[in-house]
Amino acid sequence: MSGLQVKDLLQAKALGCLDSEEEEIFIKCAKEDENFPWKEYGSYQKIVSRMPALLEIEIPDQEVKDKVSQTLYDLNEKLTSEEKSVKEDESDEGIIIEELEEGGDVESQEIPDLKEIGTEKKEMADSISFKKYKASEIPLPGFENLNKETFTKQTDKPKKKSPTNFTRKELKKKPVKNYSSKIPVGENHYGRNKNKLFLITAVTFLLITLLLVIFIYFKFSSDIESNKNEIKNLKQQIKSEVINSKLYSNNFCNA
Amino acid sequence: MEDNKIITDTQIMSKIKENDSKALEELYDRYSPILYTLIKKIVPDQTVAEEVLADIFVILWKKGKSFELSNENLYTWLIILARNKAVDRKIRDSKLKELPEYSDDFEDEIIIPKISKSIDPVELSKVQAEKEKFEGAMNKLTEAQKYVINMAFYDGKTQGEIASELNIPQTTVKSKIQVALSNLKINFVLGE
Repeated sequence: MSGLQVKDLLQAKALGCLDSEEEEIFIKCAKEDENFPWKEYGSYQKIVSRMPALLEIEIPDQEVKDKVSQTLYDLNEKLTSEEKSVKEDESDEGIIIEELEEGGDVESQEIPDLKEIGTEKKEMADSISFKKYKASEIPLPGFENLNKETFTKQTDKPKKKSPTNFTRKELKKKPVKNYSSKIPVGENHYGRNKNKLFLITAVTFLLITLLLVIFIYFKFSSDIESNKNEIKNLKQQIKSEVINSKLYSNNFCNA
Repeated sequence: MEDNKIITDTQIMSKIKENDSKALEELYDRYSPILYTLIKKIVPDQTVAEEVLADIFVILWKKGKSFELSNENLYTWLIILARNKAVDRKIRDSKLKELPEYSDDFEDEIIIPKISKSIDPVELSKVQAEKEKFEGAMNKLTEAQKYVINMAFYDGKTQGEIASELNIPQTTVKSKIQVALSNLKINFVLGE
């Protein structure tokens, strides 16, 4: 649209009577056109805003003021509670990140990139978009899919503080809960596996011990038996030798 | 009233940005009569007018902080904001025309005015002091020009709607508005 055409819309826009198509063109020009005639437009805005001064002034009731102050008080309360819940959410995220970072040898081996990024815990909590990385997508307890790329992607984004944080808070609240609720589940699972392994080892050990005992028992009992037999043989041998010697001595005497 | 002369609109706004509720009260005391009068001219129903007035201060409290008002013109901003909000409410209540859903984006784009930063700020007290001068400038316009301006500003009609209501070509309405506003500006600057 040429400068001349935009100039034709200035008065109508200042009066607020542009048709929707022209309104769109005007908004686009005001945003994009570097040569937008702001000064001329401003002079029309200024002159139009003087119009209500000609009206007979009517003062609103005191009740209206009370109503306005009540509305603003409620709004403030709402904003304060929203801010509080966001702070709580952020601290929850901070704790989770802390747990992830201090998760012991196994965990730290599997997510080495967390420390490489080198951002503060709070920054990290801010940068993690739970909208993008759903709790269900976060693997526990292995963390295999957590890699540098996904986290860097988030930290690279410029932080934008919206004047209204509702959306952000609402988005955060639920996934954080899911995320945190998954951690103990993961720990239990890991513990259960450990117990199973211990049980299997114990049973195997018992079986081996039992086999060993049986083996020793049989071995010793056979040894004892053979020794007994040997003793018996020896006894018989001695006995026969004694008899023989007796017989021999008798024969000798008789002779 | 003494205080009103001492504290400027810009000073009040900077206090409001720091969440000073007393400053907002000060601003309410200063501006509510003219805003309420303007709103009531557009939406005659008292209850609706009061609601719109409350909405104006809620918008100011919620979003005023994010706007760079120090270079802008609070008086002009508030007047155009009140006008836009009241016209929007009037159209929505009458259901004569379909409007986009009232959202945060709609409010930012359509309801909250983008005031030129190239103009010198004007305060309410100055506007009131120059009331007669402005009245003189207005009276120099033709009846047709005044009528069209009033239809556009207070009735919230678009150029197309004015054309069809008066049964005249839209180009005529456009040129009438252009000439009327240009003349009003020249008349006011030249004064009497």
